[in-house]
Amino acid sequence: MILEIEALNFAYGKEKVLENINIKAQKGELITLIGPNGSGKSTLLKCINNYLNIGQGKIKVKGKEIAAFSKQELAQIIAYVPQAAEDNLNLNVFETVLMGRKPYSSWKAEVEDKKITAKVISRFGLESIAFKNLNDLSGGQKQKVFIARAAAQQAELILLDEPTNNLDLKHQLEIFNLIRAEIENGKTAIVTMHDLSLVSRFSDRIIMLKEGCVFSDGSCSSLSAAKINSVYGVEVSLKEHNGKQLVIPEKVI
Amino acid sequence: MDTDNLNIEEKILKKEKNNSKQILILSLSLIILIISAAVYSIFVGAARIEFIDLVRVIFQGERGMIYNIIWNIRLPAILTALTAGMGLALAGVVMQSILKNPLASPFTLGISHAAAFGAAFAIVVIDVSEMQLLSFLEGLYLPSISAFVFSQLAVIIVLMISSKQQASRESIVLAGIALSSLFTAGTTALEFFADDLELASVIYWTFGDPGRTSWNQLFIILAVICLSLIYFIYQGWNYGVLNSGDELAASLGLDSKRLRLSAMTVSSILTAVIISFVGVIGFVGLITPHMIRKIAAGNQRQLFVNSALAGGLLLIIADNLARTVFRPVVLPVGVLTAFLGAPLFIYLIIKGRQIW
Repeated sequence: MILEIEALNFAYGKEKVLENINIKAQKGELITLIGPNGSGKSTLLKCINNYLNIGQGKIKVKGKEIAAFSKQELAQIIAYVPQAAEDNLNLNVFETVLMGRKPYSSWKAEVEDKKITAKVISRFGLESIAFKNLNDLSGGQKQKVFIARAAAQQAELILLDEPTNNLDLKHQLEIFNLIRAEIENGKTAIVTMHDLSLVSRFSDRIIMLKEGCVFSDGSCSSLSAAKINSVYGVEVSLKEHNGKQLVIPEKVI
Repeated sequence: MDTDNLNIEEKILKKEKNNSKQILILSLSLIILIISAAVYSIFVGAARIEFIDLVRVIFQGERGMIYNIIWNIRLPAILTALTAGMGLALAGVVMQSILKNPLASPFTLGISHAAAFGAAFAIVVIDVSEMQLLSFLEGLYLPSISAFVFSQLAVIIVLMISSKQQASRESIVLAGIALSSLFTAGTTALEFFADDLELASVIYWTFGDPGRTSWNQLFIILAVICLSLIYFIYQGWNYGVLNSGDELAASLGLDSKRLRLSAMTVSSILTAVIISFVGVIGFVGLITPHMIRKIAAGNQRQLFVNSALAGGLLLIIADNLARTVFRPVVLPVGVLTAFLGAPLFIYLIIKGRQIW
């Protein structure tokens, strides 16, 4: 078991955001967290990442509570791709991906770190833009770079907060293919998403959050119109296509 | 396929090496320019010094007026311009990076104005007898100490705001602007109540001038800039990561709050030491990092080093101009940096990319 969350509660001051969350993640799973805005998806990722100090409950990574790890040790196990890419846009792609090697180095990148970076850039097909500034890249290219940075981190668990936000169809598919490729390499990923059809197509497991609680947790086939109605307050119809569910929004209830 | 990938990886690594070389060439070019400008500066000033005079002083051990001008006036001024320019630019680039704000600098965070107020306070309020005034003119110690104390007060206020959980980068800069206004108002009030001699002293102090430092003061500035530069070179990668956001920094194993606080502390002390000995010199800390970013930024460590070098070069050139434009009158370099810096900064805003 790579991740175990037990009875997790979290609040921003007096405002409860997460309540009694219990989740377990197996190695090699692609888990998608879905739910309306404000349901606690991003907060949950930040708790797993130890960016937010949890109130009550336990988060264990590889059987050990996250608080027991040093920051550097945890960074070698968990990689995180934040939602708001307020990145240093003055850096080029190579430097940005190289950042993923920070948890393994002290004050400067070693030759081995640079080799791993070059390998990841090549694997992600970013060689043609390897020395372009992030500032000069499109949103889709930037997102690929950020995922490449997480891959360079060589962490077993990758957390991605809405990685396909504001991306066109092609880039959405490319991003999911890259995440899938990381799963094939033995990684585990937890992704927050809004596009339910895409979620259904790529995920191994879908966890629905409603008002800070786990509403449902199951395989893609467990996704039902009734659950979506209840969580999102939207009437939808589900169509099957190549064994995957397509979610078509009909109207607001 | 594997061989193809290997080739691609080798090409990427080769290109990365070349890029690093280019940045290194920029650093070396800046060092050569600094040395050239510094040597040239020895010959620039109200008193005429020929090359042969310099040879006589160095190789024949001649001890006379020329020796005194070179050793006690020109050389300390040149080295002060170099170290002060390096320090202010380093403080500026650090503050801009950690606050992610292109307007952050010792000037905009209120540290310079606090120092100016401190000096004015020492000159006007603390009972300055004839003897103390003499000691001020010779050593500038009392206003310097007071300037340091008040600039540290501004630093403490900025740090207190920075350490607040809800303090945004914008709020820190806004607090700095408020502090600047407050201390400027204080200085103006002191000037209003000052007598003619005190007023002249305050104005003289407010205009930054590298020519006023002694060798002892220069060594203090040099020690602080060396230690700060070593710290920021060592932490360069961490600050590069921090520049990409707190959440990312945390996920890469860094304590962003501690890093930000230590950067603010080191850069503020650096600024306070320089201003308390040299006076207020604006714009160097603000524009130099922007100039370097436009030429070739490189990574954070390279940006720190090259900004510091460019700051040193800029202030040596500005000091040269200040000594020659209205010869034999020597302009305070602070006036010149403001005159040159403001239009250059406006040009950068109009032409520059939005890369912060």
